[in-house]
Amino acid sequence: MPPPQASQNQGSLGQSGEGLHSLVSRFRKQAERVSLRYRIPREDAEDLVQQSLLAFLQKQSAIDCPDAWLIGAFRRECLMFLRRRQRRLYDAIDTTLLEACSDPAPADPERDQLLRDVESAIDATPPRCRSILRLRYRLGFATEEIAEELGYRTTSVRKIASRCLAALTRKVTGLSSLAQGACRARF
Amino acid sequence: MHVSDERMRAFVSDRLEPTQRREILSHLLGGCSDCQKAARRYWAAPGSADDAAAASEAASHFEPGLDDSAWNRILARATDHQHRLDAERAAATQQWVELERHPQPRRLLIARNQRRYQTWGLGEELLRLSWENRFDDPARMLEQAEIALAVAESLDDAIYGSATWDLRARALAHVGNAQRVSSDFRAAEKTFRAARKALDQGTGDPLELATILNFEATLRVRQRRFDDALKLAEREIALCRRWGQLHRLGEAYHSRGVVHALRGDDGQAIRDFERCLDYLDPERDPRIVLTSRHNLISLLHEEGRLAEALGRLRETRPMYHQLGDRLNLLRLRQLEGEIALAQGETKLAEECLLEARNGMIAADLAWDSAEISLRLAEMYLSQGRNRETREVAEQIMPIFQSRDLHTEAIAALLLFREAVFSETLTAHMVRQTISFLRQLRTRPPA
Repeated sequence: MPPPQASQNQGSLGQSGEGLHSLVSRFRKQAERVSLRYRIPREDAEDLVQQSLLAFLQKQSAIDCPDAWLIGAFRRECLMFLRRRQRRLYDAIDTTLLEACSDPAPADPERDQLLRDVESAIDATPPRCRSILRLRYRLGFATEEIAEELGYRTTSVRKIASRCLAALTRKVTGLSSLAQGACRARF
Repeated sequence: MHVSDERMRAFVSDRLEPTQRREILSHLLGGCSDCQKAARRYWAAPGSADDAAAASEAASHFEPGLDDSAWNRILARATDHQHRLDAERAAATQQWVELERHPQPRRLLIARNQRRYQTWGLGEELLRLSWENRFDDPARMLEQAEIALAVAESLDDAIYGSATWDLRARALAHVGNAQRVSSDFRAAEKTFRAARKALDQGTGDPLELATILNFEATLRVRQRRFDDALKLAEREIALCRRWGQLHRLGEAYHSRGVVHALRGDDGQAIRDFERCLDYLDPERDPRIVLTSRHNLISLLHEEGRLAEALGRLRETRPMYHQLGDRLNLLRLRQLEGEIALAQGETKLAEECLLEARNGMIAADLAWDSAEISLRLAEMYLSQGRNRETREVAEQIMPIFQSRDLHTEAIAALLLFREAVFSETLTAHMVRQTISFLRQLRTRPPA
């Protein structure tokens, strides 16, 4: 059974500032390699390193292998950061399109042009996505309504809708033409 | 007109007006390759097909490395944080003394509302205390884990980062484990699910996951779902090995050893207990080391490897006495009695077993006292000491009846007693009763 992350060795690094310094200097090289591999912007890398180090200090008494733990924690922070950033792009596109399709203004040529462009982008997504994306961005259906309309379970339609939005985002960012079919949505 | 980097950042951060957002999206849909390229920087996750396609262009925008001043800032903040944690840990013992004076609902109220108690150090200390109570006081174990959870739920993310969710996950795991100890399996199941969810919100630390897996494996053992328990223990072993957590690896082998022993695979259980002792750190948790050694000696004895059992017992005896735990000393006496019995030293065996049995009765440990009583009965039977066998049979029933334990156990003991009084008891029947009681003991309550 695991013991709680007890404080019996508390301050083993912090109390002798030396320990923390040498750990950080060993970590620095590895962290830079990881942030290079994940292409983390400099200002974000600083935050992510800081987060990993704080978590390490909080848990240090239960960690047998600080170097391995710390670099593992930093790698996970980087991956989560990239996922969050990707999610933000989806959300920006999703919100913009929902607002446009629900805009009560009777005639707005710019909005109409945007919706026409989206329609062509939707046409270029995999067939299964088209009906979901049209229900969402033409009729403004919520996830539950899409599930009901298309006969999916709400839990599964959430995943499918997210993949479809990813497919649309690829079109919007021109990634689908760049990747030339390497990045097909998986269903 | 292109979208500037600043504007693109504002777009993805939801800091623009709807009309401005529409302009950008229209521009991207219009196919401007420069701006699409700028948007793609927010897109690709490493390892994906998208990433392979976008890798080279993203690399050209990347500014490598943090400079010395960034590292100095990081180190300065880390040092401050270390001082904060040291102070919190130093205050935690006293804070618990203050909280302890109140009834549990008030302790929870204080933990949730008083800032001064909302510290990582206190949460951690409460979990340590809760864990220490696992053998002696399950109710207190649960109470302390619940307060730790209240503390963890109130921690400030701005101070402790996303690891606050990790502490929440750990506290939930301890609450679930305490519920399991109190035989509330349904609640434990639900709490472990919540613990995993909390960990997903946090840093995803594999060591926290290993804790949850360990507790879940113990729950599966109590539910007699041994295959599931084995899978969980193996996942835990893999995680601890991968992250170089040697003491935790020892604990994981211990868990797997317990599962193998309960499945009746003594050979594999012995190997796991031997392996776990290679990794466990006695400084960190002497009690688990003693439990592992005790289990190993018992199994060696049961497998008939008496010389090895005796050797290990000699090495371990000082540890039983050092820990000064009454229950462990009683278990030592039981083990000594059983080994003496196997060696034919019946006088010593009787002395040890009687002492262990009486101690177990005094400590209210019905199952243990029943098992030892049956061992004594087996010994008396083989010596033709019918009067003593009857005495054992008479003493055993009230213990079970008064505790309202398993009706099947009571039925088995009634059969045993009848056989004693009708003088039809055989050694085989006694051994079967012991084995039946062992099975019942690990069976979940109805």
